[in-house]
Amino acid sequence: MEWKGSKTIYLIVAVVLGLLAATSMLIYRYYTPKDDQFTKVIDLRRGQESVLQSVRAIHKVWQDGRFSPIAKPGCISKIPEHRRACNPELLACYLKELIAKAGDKGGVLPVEQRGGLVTAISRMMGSNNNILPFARKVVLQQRRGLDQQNWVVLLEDSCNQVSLPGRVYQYQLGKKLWRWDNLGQDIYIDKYLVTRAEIEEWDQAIMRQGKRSWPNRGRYLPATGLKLSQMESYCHFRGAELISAHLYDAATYHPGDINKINPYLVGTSLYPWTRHGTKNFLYKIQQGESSAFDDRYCLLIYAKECRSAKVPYQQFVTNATSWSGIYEVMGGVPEVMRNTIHPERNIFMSSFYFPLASHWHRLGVRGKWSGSGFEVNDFNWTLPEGQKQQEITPTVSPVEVGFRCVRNDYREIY
Amino acid sequence: MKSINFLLLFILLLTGSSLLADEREVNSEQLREQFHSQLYLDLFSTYKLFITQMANLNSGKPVTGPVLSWQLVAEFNTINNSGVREILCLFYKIPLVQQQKGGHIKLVDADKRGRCWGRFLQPARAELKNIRSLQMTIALPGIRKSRKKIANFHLQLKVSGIYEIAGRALHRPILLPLVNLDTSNIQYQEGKRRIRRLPTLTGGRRYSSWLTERVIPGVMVLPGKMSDLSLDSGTRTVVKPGEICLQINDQCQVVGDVTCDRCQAPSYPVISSKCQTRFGRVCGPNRCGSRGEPACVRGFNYLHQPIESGCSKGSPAGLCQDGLHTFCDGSRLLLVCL
Repeated sequence: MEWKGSKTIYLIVAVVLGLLAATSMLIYRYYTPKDDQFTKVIDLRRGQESVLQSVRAIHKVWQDGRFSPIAKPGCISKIPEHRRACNPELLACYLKELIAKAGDKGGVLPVEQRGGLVTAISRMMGSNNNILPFARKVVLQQRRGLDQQNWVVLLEDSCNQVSLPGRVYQYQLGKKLWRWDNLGQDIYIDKYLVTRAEIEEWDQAIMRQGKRSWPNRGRYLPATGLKLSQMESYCHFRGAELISAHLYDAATYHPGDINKINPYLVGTSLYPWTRHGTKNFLYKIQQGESSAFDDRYCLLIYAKECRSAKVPYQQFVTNATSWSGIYEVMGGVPEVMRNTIHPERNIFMSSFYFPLASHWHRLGVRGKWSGSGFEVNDFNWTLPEGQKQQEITPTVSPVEVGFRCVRNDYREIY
Repeated sequence: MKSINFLLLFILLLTGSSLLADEREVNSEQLREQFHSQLYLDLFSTYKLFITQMANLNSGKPVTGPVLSWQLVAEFNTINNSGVREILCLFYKIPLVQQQKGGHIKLVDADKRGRCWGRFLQPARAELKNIRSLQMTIALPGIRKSRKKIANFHLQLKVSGIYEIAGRALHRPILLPLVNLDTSNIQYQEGKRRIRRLPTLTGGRRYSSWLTERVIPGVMVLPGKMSDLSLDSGTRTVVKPGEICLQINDQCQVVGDVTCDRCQAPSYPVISSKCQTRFGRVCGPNRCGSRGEPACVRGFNYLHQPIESGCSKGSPAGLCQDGLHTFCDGSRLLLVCL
């Protein structure tokens, strides 16, 4: 009988020992602190993944130009809708929202730099070391307990330029033609004229002394009152240059059959929105066949009548596009450009200084500006040869002159 | 008694082996995670890549080479979290026989001159041993992707052999974003020569994109401790206006260093050779077409046939101000207007 009792005891002891061994191993595996180095590197990686995630979210708002502000809904309403994509002001609103939502929590948050949450950097600034010709900069701070790591995010602006399609183009003055092509080149032209908001950003970035004054309100109206040298400096700041006349013509003359990149004859059009100029309302007015004014004309050309009728300028800005996608071509403010072939013809005069009937409202018809003054005498208002009309000299002074930039891209190899 | 002993032994063996197996799995997983994380951190800010094993990349097959030899797979130019520029070298030791373990992946620092040759004996920043095979894939715009979609500018390493269940190897890809890399900064080695791939022409593309393609298009992410936002740590003397910053020879090859990113004003294209597909460049400001200045480029095909290029008197390749003509500036071999 004793032997039978011992058997049972042995069995029980064996099972208990086995269970104890298993339990202790399990406890060792799950409750013993893991290797510190292993934990640390995993945490660092997760932190960096969250940085990348934050950057993706910022990039989306930057590209799309929209988000739903809660704290300050008025923050983005002052920015015209067509200028919200790749807009540093809108992005700054978004970043402020992020900071407000985060409160005292850690994580990845934007930090204020000198100049604000979003600043412009340019290769033309300071030590000339910047890796991109021009970008907007956001600084993110990654908080890891007591540690913190800053990250610089550089954002390129892809929203406000159009690519000039690769094909053969033509510059023309009178009966003389100059053919050229941009095959094998990347040329990007500003969609809109440079605005006051952009000049303010430039002033802040280069810490310009003295505040500019504008004749009228409106931060997204064309920037005027800049001398030619200042316009060129601004374009250089953006990694670009002042647009030249032959590029402007390429972007505005309707090419006819867009699919033919090397046509035998490169046509020119009178107006940017149509190939068939003589059937157009503007041609009829200019020929004296019609004189009635319609507000709808101002969607295509912002002439003197539009200003008199107080038609909102913004409607013109968002509707008056050329075949290539650039806006603000006919009417508005006169636009200066560098003319390689005829330097004395450096300003496209079609503007709100002239009525619809004026022959200044035709593509390729340019005057001259001295580049340094804004009085009437600083301009040559003589129409080029071939334009049958009496000269009309504006009496308004100072004359407002706008501009846009163009970039002939090159991808650097480090 | 015997049966009790057998029972006891059986219980102990069963418990022990299952726990040991778990321990092995935990260690393998831990090693892989640690390797992945360290690689992720070290290669995150990569802005330039040199691939030596081009034949093995994107082939869908394991990296091959002489057994037990260390192969330099790739070189990475990157910036660490302290803002210091580094060159890192990824080595792979080919296992003895494909079906056995013994392979070894190792990431090490380059030497002071930025060379990777012979550095496989250096202490590893990240490494993984006892692997059976390694497959590498990098997803780039325009390159046909593998069956499983990988995001652009991500490097994928498929490492087999370190983690198995029931004898079946599990390929768990390691995915690494190379955040600041773009296509113009990828070099390949073919034979023994480094080949620098020039940016492709856009003549065939109607609408080109402004954005530099990267992991996030048009975005760079750099450690905040960088003393200056510059990827080139060498001397950055400013190139003066009017100086040639990109020289192209008649064979359309780049001659010398490209210094256009050091111009005070943006560079612009000029005609400096007979190359029919590429222009040289000169530092701005752009005054092309004016007297004494480079001629503006007319393009390669403004007639119905390719135009003659090159630096010669009266060349139609350049555009000048009305009344001026093209001449060759012999000292700079540049087409100018006079």
